[in-house]
Amino acid sequence: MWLALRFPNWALDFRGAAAEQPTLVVETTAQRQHVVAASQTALEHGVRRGMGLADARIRSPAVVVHDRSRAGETAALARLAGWAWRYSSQIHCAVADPNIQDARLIFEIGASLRLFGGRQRLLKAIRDDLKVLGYRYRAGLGETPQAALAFSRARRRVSDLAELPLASLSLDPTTRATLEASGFRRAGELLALPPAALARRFGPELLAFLEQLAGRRPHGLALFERPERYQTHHELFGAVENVQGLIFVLHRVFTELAIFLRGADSAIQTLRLSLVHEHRATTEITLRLSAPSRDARHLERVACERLERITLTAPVLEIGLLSDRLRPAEHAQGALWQQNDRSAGAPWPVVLDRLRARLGHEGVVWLDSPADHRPEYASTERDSEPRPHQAANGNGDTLPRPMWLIDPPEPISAQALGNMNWLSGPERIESGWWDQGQRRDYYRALDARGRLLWLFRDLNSGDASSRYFLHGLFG
Amino acid sequence: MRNHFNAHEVDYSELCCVSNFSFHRGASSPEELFDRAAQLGYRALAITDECSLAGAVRALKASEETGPRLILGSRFALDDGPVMVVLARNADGYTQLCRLITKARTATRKGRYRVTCTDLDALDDCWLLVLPDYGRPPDPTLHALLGWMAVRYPRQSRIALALHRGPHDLLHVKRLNSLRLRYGLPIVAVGDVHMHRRSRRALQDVFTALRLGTTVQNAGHALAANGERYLRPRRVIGRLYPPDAIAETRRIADACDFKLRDIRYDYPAENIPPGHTSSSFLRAEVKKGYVSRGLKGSSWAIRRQLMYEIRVIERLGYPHYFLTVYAIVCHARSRGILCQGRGSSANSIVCYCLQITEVDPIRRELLFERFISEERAEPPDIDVDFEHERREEVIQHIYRTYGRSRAALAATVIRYRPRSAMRDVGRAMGLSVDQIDTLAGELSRRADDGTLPEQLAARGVRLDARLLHQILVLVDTLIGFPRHLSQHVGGFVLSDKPLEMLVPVENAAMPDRTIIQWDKDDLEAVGLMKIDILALGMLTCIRRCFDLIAGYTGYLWRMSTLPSGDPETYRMIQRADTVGVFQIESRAQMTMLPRLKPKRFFDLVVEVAIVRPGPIQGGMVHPYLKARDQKPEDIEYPSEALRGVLERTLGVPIFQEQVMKIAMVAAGFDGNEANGLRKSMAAWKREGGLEPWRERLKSGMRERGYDEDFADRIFEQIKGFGSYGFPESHAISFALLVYVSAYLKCHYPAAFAAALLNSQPMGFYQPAQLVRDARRHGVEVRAADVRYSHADCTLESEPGEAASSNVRPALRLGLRLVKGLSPEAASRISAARASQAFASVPDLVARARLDRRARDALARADALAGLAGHRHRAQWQIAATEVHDDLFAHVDVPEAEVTLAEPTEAADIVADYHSTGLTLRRHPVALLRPDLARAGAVTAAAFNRLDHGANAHVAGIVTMRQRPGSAKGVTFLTLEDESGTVNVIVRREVLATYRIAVLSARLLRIVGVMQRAGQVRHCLAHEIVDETHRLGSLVTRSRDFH
Repeated sequence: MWLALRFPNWALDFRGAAAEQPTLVVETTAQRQHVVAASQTALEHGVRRGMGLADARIRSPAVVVHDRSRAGETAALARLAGWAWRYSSQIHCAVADPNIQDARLIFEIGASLRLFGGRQRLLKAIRDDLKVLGYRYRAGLGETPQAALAFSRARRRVSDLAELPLASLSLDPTTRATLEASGFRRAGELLALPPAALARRFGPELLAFLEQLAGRRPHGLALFERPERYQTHHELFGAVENVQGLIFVLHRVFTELAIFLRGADSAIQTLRLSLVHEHRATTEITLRLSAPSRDARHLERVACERLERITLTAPVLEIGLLSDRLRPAEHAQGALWQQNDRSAGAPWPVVLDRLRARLGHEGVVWLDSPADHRPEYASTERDSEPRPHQAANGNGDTLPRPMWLIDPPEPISAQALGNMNWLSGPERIESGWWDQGQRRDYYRALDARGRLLWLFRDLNSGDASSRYFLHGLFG
Repeated sequence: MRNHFNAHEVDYSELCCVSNFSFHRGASSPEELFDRAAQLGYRALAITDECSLAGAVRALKASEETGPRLILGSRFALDDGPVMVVLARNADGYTQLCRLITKARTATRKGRYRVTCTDLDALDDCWLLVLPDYGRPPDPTLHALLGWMAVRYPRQSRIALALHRGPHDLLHVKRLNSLRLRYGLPIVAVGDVHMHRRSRRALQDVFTALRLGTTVQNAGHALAANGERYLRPRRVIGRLYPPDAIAETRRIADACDFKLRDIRYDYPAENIPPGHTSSSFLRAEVKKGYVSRGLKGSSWAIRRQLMYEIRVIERLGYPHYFLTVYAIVCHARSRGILCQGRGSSANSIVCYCLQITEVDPIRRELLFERFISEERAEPPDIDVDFEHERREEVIQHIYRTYGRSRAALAATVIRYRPRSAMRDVGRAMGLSVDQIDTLAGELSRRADDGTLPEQLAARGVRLDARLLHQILVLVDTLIGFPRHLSQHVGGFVLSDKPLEMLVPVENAAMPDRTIIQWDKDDLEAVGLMKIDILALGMLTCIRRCFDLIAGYTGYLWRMSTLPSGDPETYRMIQRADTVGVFQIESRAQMTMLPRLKPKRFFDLVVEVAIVRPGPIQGGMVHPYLKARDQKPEDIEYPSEALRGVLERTLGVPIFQEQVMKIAMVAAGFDGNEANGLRKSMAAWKREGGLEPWRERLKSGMRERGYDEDFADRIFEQIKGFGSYGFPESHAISFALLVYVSAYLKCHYPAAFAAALLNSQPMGFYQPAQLVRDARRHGVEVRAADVRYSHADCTLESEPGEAASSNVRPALRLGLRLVKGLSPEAASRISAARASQAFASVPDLVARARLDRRARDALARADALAGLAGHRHRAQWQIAATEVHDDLFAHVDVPEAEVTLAEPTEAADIVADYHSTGLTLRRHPVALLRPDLARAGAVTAAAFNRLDHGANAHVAGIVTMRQRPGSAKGVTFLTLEDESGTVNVIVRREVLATYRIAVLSARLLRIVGVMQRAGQVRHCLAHEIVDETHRLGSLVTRSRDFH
């Protein structure tokens, strides 16, 4: 017996957001943006899949729109397939293709019925898991994977294979159109036709499909293989700017890891957490446990602990996880979560201490010189290695800039100004109007003690007496 | 070291300055630059846009208005080299510059250019200014270039020094000095100006970011370090630059004495046969036409008008122009392409004689108010419409005749509109596409009332208030800026000399099209001539209709030979029975027809002009309708002088020409001022600037004794006209097509419907509505059928019937309506059938070589019914039929009979709509009638019998949605059922409740009230129910918000 789970709004749901706000995922084909997935609220506003974006906006004006990420969908579905290991060893998964517009996961459950105490209990366990994950799905049960999928696609509840409407079968669109135009409506009518007549019109594919549907031929679907490592990327909804937000998001990431590890009955020891930023180098955090574990919640705690101690260099757009080789779990740990972590006695603070000892806080700071005309911004400290910049000037002249910047610049008294020996300037720097705008005239001058100074006059300051500042010393 | 060269104001001219016609570079308009240069006391200002002279004419006008002399030049980033500025010293230099730009622009794709050192070889009458890179030692390329220039142009080459208070100013001066010594080329001071004031700096940064495809935050050192590239006060210049460099600038500025007004344009000469002058040939051809048009023996007034026209044409030097248009029209005629001229000069007797227009001045009882305005230096204006599917032939003919060097399209300057401005600014400021869309949407909905950040936050867009403010200011500045050059819809510029001697030519987006860098207004200002070659679908339809009629009657009509003033045609028009008729088929026009009741040709001219946003917003419609019910002697005119202007339109200004005339008669404008007013009318919505005219108009009217109230009203009307004011000269030509198409519809409904269907897409209606309308007029419409149909719709009359005009032929739908069938497949079918009728489906497939797609398309359109039986059987059978070179060709398997259910009527209707967009079976709503009747809805026919104010309840398929800007938030819907159509009015407050249904439903049920005024009936909606689900999978089409 096969169970088919079909995820009509996978393109949205795989991201795991249960936002209140109406949300859409759109795809652009042939210059046209159309909806491929919609949140529940958007559906309630009358948005439908396949609808043009303009149409959808009419129905749900405040809708938030995301672009489709096929790679993300595939990766998330593979994670889900990992979960299904718990129930089956024969798993097929596929994302939307031209014949079937939905992501689906089909697996054999006949062999596990006894293990789980019968069909009802098995299905309940599956339902409960899916509830935790929050995916919207349609389920169908059938004797073959093709039949199970067709039952999950039938709009009305049918019990008999022959009663399945044509539209529920995974047929090539042209074939289906021709069959419909010839007046056929149900699977039974097709199964009753002379095979030769069908083959002549539609080639061997249709015959093969019908035989697979009826179980007269092996299903021929590619089965999912357990991966060597756990590797995923989670695109976030918008950028996450602070650690608190990140910890919130991580909960879901680790929930999926937990479900996967339990399904695959595997443990891991090392996990690399990557935080991907826009225009900045990825922040990478390696979590290493003292022993392999399948307790993802524990890993989550370790990760959070680490995160609380770092400063984000930039908003996070994407989170990646990469484990070391999956290894068989050595002891059962029961339910999805350790319901009561502390009483379960997991010695996580101890592990954490070890981790701290091993990794520590590197007091390393990288110096960076981004291309910015404003001196303060042209020299910054970062706690991750910056990407090499294009040399700002090519083979051009070096900018006359002192090694030593005085931060913040110090006002210069009128008396000191009077004793300056002005060497060059002004160099006018006006930039950054989009955030901290500056307007300054810079000069090089020798002061009474013979030091070579870098001074500026603030053109924005109205007060003549406090307009000059010392900004640097040439070495 | 604060040593200043010169602390007083020096005598200075700017030799290097880009305007916003250097797209994504210059941040100020030529007008702003000249204004500022004048304030600063600059002697001259060079506009040196990047490989472009697109801003030249505007700069010329600005220069003439403000004072500083215009120097024309252009700036080039040489391939792998420095920036070079080329200035025209004299007229020859100007031509050399145009050639250089043309060469650089046509060497690559649209919007780019490419200049290498070798392209600079023919600039003997130009100045060449090299701008060495700042902050970088001279590289070998620069040395090579300067070395070459010192030899090739020793007297004309200069090294340009631009200083902007950068970090290396001293070093830069030193470097340029050593270059000067090495190559013996003097140094000139330039500002390398990008904006008129420092405050445009942010916009300039936005441009830089856009040009590099990045954001301002990430553009880094690509942005200028400061805002010094503005037009600086002369005191600052004097302080900054060495005096000899400034002196050199002055010398060069003084040595540029080219004036754009001096360029000489000549009309093409080849249209005049040897032995003729342009005048004598024009006279000869007009005389020929005078005879062939049957004007011989017409009244003295006509002859006098003709002589007057010819004299005006000769005096103003336009014979070539008319002869050029004449030559093009003659060619079109020789190819059987229908055409019709319009515009102020088109409706003249000269043009009637030259066959440029078919509007017969005598039969149409027209007065010629305005032929060519002598007091204005405006060139004559003739637009010629051609059949839309054959205009390309005419264009190719023009290219062949004049050659690509002498014919090019005028440009249209595409300007930033709110949405595009928001998109570009948003992109440069790092907003996401979705944020930009949301922001643009919110802005278009309301003015910024301070709550914008919250409104945006509610929609998921969080923006810092300061950033938002910056964005809004930038967008505001950017709106109206030129964005790129596009091709004019059809304005050709033809010249006797190669065009590139007058103006640069560049590639257009369309392959094989070139455009000149000036737009329509620019051309006018410098006296270049343009002819508009336009496309019009209705001409295609009329020509096809003439052909179809000739096919069964043997008589070939022409537009000029159709009987004029046909009462039956006018009765049809008065009934608003005008589906498919040119112009007056829209919903708005149809509701006007029964009120206006056109009885003669001039009424059609008014009808065409009055149902426009301009007159509607100007409030002209009701006064005009009221005046039509009055006796002529009861109509009051503000003055005797204005009676002359307004008498024909019963005291109400309707045409654009009348508004100008009012300004002249009542406010004392001269011709040029009136023309200026017309142009401001066209542009005020976009640019504002109508207020000075208000003062001028009101004071003029006060002086002439008109009261304040009347003056205000006239001004409001002018404002209402806005860009929509319709000129009478165009309305007349359109009215002719209205009459011709109405006549054809009235007397040859089958031919007219077939011609319309064959010219799709055009007009307001879908094929389904056109066919339904034809059937309502008694035309028998036959389904598309592979046994009889051609690609186009055809007329079928019974064999043996004598060819006569009494025949009522049937309309056979063409295979062109079958969705998914290529035109080639359709013509293969009719070609194969011509030799022998098809015996069976396999015979058809084999002889017409139909691929799978074509076969399926035919089966689904039910076009195989005659060969294969019902749709299901046809589909099943044809799916098994393969062409001979296919895999199963040799297998002729005898097949067990499969029982296939016959399609239901509903299924057939659905399939008909899917495939052809129409059905000849029952109307889909007829099938739903029992359900709808149960819900309480009556038919459209029953609705139309209701009295005013009666409760109404109707339902139908939505065929049109409209929300005219003039209708104060009211939405109009047209519903169609098996008995006819209902026009529905949805008020704003009702729309708010039923928004989704109104905007997207395909089948609607409306509860409301009958609003009736004579023949005009509307259902005013109170409650709206979306019944789309009842349609199942029926596909319907609606014309939405066009």
